[in-house]
Amino acid sequence: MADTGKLLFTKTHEWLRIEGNVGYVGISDHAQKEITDVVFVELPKIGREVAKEGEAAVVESVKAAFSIYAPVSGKIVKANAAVEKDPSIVNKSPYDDGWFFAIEMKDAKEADTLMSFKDYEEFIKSGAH
Amino acid sequence: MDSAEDRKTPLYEAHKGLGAKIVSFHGWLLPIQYTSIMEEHNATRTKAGLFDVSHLGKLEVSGKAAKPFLQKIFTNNIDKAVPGKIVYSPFCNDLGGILDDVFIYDAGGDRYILIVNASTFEKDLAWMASHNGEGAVIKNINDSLGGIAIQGPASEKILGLCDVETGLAALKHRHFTETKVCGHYALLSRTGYTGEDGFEMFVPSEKSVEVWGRILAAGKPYGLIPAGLGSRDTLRLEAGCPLYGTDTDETKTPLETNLMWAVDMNKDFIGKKVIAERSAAGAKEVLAAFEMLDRAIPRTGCAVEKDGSEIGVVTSGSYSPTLKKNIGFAYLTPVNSAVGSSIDILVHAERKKAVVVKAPFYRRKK
Repeated sequence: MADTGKLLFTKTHEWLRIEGNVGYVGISDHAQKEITDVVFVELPKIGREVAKEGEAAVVESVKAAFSIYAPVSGKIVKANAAVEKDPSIVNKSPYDDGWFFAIEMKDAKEADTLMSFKDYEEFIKSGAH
Repeated sequence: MDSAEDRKTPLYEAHKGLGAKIVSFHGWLLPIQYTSIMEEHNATRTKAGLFDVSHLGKLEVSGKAAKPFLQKIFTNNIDKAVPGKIVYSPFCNDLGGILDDVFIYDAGGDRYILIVNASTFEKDLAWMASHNGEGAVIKNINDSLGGIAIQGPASEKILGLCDVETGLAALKHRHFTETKVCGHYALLSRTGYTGEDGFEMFVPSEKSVEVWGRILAAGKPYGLIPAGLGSRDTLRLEAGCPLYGTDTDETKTPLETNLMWAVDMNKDFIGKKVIAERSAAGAKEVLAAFEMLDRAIPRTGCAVEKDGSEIGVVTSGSYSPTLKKNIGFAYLTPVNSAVGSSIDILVHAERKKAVVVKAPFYRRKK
């Protein structure tokens, strides 16, 4: 299990892990449980510019498709081909092996609006999502 | 999602106890899944799955006028319904539009049991009542019976452990018997909606929980698990079964939906004239099966194109857990509906390659 203390969360259930000026992005354990069996992941192309809260990837269960939004603005520098090949990794390891893509961040301050794991857990309990 | 009018099946509390995720489905609160659609799908294909089918509409039509009435409304020939045998038939409006597709059980002695779709039950009942010049006795038996389906290769073995009064081996596909299961009355048939061997039974509502629990317990050593609507949908799609309201509706006749095998043009029935005219003129669109070649999951409502021109629309689409492909049904112009025809599906606004294939997608080994 990853150190969730190092992750920042969006209200749309993505997480961001910052390493230098690069942010890794995935979906929360709560999100993967809600989606259940992930059977398809479509990742953004390397080099694509994404805007904060803009659609960056698609994750699909047997029943439905869900958009994955970029937690911060920037350029896509990595995409995790392993989750495209075996989407069930997202269910098995949402905080580690199940990451989706990495963004070279334009403005690190954008991450200030994101929630800590503790605040995210409160947010889920409040049922506001 | 849940509305105040949603009804609970007799098994609702049992589903809650099993940790099911409940959804509103055509006025009924039903489990979409217990643990995982994939697990429930795979269990049904390889071992067995237990489904709550209490939402299916149940009607009894009886009396001397029953048969003439049923012959008049159904497209298929009710003469095929000898006692113990089940006949499948659509019934249509005056314009040949399909109002519903129905399983007709001939219970003998001028008594027929009709199993109709949940989504159309009230509409069917009202329509039948207003077209019953013959004076058949039409009775709503929906509330008195709960429905349970066991589907999958281990079904016969498991149900055989549940005090069934009739020999299951002798019960053939699409046949039924009125018997006892777990000591209680059961309208038991060798039928299903998954492409697997299996049985459906309608038992007294107040006995449903007991029968459900006993089958589940008896099947546990054989890998039986409860299965929800999610897997029911992926299983029926793989098996090539259209779903009324999704793949067919009042705007389609049996001609467009490949159901002419269940239409007897040598007898009279409501809608025959239009169906005959359309047959002579040729269908403008037909329901076809396709599989994706590019990576994308087709969904209901996705447009279908050929060389940049729209030629149809997807009605059902999903990832297929058994075939590990993405598959679907779509209405296509007849010229593009031949097996092997290459088509494009617009998924998330992008053109993705697909090919028309022969239905069903999945056929079990016998």
